[in-house]
Amino acid sequence: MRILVCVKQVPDTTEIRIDPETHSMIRTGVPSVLNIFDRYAMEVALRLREQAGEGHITVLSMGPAQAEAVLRECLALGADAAYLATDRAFGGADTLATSYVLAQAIRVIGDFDLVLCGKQAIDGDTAQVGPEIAQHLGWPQVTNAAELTLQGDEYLAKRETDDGYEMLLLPPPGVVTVTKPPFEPRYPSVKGKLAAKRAEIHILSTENLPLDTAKAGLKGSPTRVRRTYTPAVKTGGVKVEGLPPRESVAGLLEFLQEKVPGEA
Amino acid sequence: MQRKPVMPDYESYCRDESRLGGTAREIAFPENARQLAEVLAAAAKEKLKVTVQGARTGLAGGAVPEGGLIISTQNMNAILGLRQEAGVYYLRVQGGVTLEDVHAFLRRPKPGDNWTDEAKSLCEEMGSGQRFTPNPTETTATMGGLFASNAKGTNSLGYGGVGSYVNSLLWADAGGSLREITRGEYVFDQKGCTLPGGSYMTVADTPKGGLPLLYPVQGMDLVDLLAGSEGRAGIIAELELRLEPEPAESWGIVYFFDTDAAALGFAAELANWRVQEENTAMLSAVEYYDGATLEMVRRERENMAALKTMAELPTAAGAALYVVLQGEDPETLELALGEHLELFEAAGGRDEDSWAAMGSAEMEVFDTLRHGVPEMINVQVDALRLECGAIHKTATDFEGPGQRGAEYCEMYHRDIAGSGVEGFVFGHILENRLHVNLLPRNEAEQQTCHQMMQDWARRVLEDGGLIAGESGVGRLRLPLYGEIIPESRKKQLSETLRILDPEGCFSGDWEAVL
Repeated sequence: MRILVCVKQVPDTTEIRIDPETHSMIRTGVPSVLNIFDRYAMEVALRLREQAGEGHITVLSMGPAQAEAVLRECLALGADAAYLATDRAFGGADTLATSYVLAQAIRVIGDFDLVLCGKQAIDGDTAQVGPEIAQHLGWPQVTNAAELTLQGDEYLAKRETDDGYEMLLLPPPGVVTVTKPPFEPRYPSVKGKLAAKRAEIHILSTENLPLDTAKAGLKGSPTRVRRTYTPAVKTGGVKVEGLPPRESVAGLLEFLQEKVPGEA
Repeated sequence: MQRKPVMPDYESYCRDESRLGGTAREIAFPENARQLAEVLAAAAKEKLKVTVQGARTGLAGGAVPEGGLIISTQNMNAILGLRQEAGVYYLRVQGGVTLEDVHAFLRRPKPGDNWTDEAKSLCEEMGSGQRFTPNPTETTATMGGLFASNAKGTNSLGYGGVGSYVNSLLWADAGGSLREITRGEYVFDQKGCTLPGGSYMTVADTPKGGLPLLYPVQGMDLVDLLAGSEGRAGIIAELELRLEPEPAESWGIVYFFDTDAAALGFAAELANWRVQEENTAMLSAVEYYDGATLEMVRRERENMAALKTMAELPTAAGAALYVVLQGEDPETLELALGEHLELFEAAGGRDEDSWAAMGSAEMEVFDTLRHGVPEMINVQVDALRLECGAIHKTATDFEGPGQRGAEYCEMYHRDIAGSGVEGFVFGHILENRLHVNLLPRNEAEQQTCHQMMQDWARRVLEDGGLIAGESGVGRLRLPLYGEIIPESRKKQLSETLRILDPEGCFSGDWEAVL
């Protein structure tokens, strides 16, 4: 069994700050962490390998050199190999350009039965990269898998929906995006951490990754982020409390009728 | 400075985390040293008993009032300035600034509007990368409170308590006089020391008798004497904190073992390893969790938001040790880690039963575990008290001879097993400062617990240890153990308090015991 897990380094959400002049997220000096959904994906990969009793796990990330840290984190958890796709030409990429580069990297690195991605990155929150990778590769996909296990030669996914769950069988090769599972991810062991510090991170760039640079980075991005901002805090309004329900509703209705005449 | 009636709006100020309750007539919230001095002077004139409060996070009831006036320092929460001397940074804060505030400031230093230009530019030059080294678990506690209890955290093994990192104080005595006391200015010689204000205090000539506080000895600095004085000798208006650079690298490892015996065996090996001079500085914490504690974590973690996202404990784990290594050279630390791993595996440990974290961000979850354990117990105590009002928090803060941690641990486990009461043992195993927490479920079990604590306290005193190792004597422990504390020590403490607080303004309730 050969699994590839796509991971991303994202800003630590407790430290988000917006530049008051540019209204963009300040990334300099902000600690970065492994995207939590990718951590779940990594845990799912480890459990699949334990279930099968064998298997090889590769992790892949696209990002600047500092993204090496999250790859080492995954190596410490038990990944067997790590690749970082890093190049100035990949900078400024939206999800389409990102998924293109990742898909190209997956083709080059090797043959995989399964590609796992976190459901979404907590900075962009688009949830598009996983499905787009599947599309680039021409593979079937299951999104929002809360659980994934082996059933014979196929993967059984418990997919989270708005109404509950679907159980889907996915023949390899396929792409699965992972949401929060019913278990918490493990921590690395001492030997895992020490080995990860010394492990080789394979670098992929435009020099060794065959791709169309017009489809990568800013050039390959049909969408642009115009602005990132925190929404203005709404003030005002009225709180109705301490009254029996019937009177509370009457009070609210009166307030709404005053504010929006004819609408309430 | 306005004083307000405690009832009804400030009733909650009559309690602290010890779960003891008290009463007071009035409360005042000074905002600076001058207002503090005014309210103290007025209270002295009226001969009012005074109880000083920080954040009321203490476990020994030190902030619980017994009548009179409460002075809360919660509004004395400004970070006042920064200076540098001989390459060391010193941060000046009011007594009501919390440890959390200090951490937040040091993460992103930003000068106050009222700072001098010199301090402002020093702040920019300093940047992040400095730390206040001691790490008491309760970061919402005030710096004044942490100094007053000479609080210690998990890294006390490597770094000691808060008091050692305070360079100077602005001290308000019972009469309302403010005095700046700087380290090095008032040091006890072989006879004693002339204190600010002119009074003379002689060195103690009796055994310590199990109490850490107010025990002057030759060579001791007055700052260190006042550290741990628990608000019984005066109030801290301002403190100057000594900062240190963050270590270049930190490792936090949780080692899980199948049995308590295996964990304690590994702890003994770590103690031997630490004795080697080149290793001493690296090992800053060794925290023990017994099997009962781990079982409680498994059972209760779903009810605790901070621990819900923690990974499951290894199924076979019957005990654990949390070890912290810090230093400047990553390679040296890795060598040390390798040596520990060998010792761990020789003690029967398995690598897959270890959790490793590098750097403070990764280690946070392990710190959260340490903080969460006593909180879990508090929640269970509160629930039991609803069914039986006679039940109260029953926990030890004993510190026995450092090298006999395993022996004490075995004593605690043996006695707990024999009592039939549920109990948990965790804490600073290499310092023999273990926190034994008992969960009596009825009045009879509460009595059993009381007796066990008395027996253990006697053992600690016989062995020359302390009955209050890190969380203070407060209003809980002096009455509890008063009968077994040597008379000579009580007399010495009483005399010391009389010098510092002649009218018994802060220490009145101890008179009955002393």
